[in-house]
Amino acid sequence: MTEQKHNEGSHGNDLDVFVTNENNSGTDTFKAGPGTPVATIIDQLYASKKLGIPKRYNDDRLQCEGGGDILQFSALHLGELAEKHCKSLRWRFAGGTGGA
Amino acid sequence: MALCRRDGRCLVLDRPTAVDPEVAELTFNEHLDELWRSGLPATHGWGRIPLNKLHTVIVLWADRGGAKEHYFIRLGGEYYDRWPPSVSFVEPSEWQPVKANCRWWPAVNCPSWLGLHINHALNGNPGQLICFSFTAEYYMVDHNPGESAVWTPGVHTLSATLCRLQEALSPPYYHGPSA
Repeated sequence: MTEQKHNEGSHGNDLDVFVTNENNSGTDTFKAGPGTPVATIIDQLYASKKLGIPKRYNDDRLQCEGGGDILQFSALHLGELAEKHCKSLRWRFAGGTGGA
Repeated sequence: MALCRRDGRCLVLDRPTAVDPEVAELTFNEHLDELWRSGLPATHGWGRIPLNKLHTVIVLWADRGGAKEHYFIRLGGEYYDRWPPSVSFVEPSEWQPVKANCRWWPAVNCPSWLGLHINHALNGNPGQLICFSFTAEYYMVDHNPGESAVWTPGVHTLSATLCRLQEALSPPYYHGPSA
């Protein structure tokens, strides 16, 4: 049982990536594993009805709590992202803002 | 005010006008409740002080590299959510807008998407203009926001307003109280 759990942790989808959309305070959770491409989670969050993001824009931001921008690392796997850039599985989305 | 797309077509954005107060109250408070359920306020340590049906003071904590100072933001739902909430920094004795540099008006090296004007002509009267596309006052003055930044009911709520203010009250932008 312990070995099975270990294997799920290494290769399965037993991680929860929790995303909050700061634009409207919508939240959603995505199942993933260390081998899941970050781009896959990004695609899922844009499609999420709970997050309510209407379309992609160039000035969108996706940040890892305690870390930096995630969109630039979409080519990595989740495990690589955690190892090299940000371990937190709590991410925050924000769209563009117009100003003065 | 015009919103111009990349193809050159422009939309005209209306000035904010008051919406049905009962609908505004319902939506304004529903969105505040949704925001509080999301966990974002707990993450940032925000507080919530209801003033009346359409106005609430939010306590935000500014951060200048570890030192924390609190500010009071009054949100108004007069135009909500056809337009964003009205926004002003207020002093805690009477919850009235700050009118001069003091402990309750922050010194911020504003990012490109924000302007903080303590004494701006607004509809012929001097007043605060917290100038970004998630405040009602922004739409009372001529601006030309990009498509992604225009307040869109259903896409944006007062969460967007408070999250951007929190960002401005954090490093590298926030420098402390103005006096």
